[in-house]
Amino acid sequence: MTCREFAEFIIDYLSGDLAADVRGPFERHLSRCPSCHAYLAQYRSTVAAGKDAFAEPDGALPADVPEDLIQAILASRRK
Amino acid sequence: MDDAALVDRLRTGDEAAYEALVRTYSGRLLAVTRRMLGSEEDARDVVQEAFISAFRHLDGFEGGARLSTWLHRIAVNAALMKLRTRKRRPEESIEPLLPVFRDDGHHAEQFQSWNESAETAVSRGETQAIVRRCIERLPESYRTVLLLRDIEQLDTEETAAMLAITANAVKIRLHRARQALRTLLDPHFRGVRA
Repeated sequence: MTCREFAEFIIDYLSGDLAADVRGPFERHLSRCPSCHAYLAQYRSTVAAGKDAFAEPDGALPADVPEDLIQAILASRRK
Repeated sequence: MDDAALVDRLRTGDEAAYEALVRTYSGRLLAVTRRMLGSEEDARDVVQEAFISAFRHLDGFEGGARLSTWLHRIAVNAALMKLRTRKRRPEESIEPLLPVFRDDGHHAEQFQSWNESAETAVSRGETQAIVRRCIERLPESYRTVLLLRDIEQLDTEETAAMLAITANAVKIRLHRARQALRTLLDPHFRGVRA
């Protein structure tokens, strides 16, 4: 397996959908190629960072909604 | 009050129930539209449109799903519609942000692991700001898939239906978006030291 092929299978590997006949070559390449090993780690970190990018700090609830927006929403229903 | 009871009251036109619905869920929906649209004005407009749509389509709410999930989907769809109406520049190619390979299939670049930001002086808030700015730089069709799948946590089939593309197209775009985001994040995380 080449690095190019390895890169294309990363998404399936991380989602647990890698085909059985691909898993062996994928894992062998991962064990032998330091660059792809590092690339997979960076890809994982990227996914985690993306998912965390919009999280409220310390799990806080979203900020209060402006009261004028609340009233506008309620008024629009009455129209 | 549970979802079923609230919806029953909404269907009878109970004004207090409508106000309870808006006050309970508008914060979460505003957070969704802010993430997808970036503009506070557009985010507020879309939240209003989402509630109007929800009010009109209460019959479409099936008890099997949670009310919060149903409203979330309505808000995401409304945000997508807003994105489609925006004037857009021609979308830039994502190719320059994808990994480069030599003719023999090996990486043209040698990668080294990033240091975890938790071990550095970079705060979580600073990291989040960096990542959001990089997500904003992605070509729109790829940024949208990344937002829907990784941020809004929609599954592949839901994302495909919303975007009117195939599930395989969603998977390919998500992978390209993640690879491109990695490229954009690399200069920020590569040199970070504990």
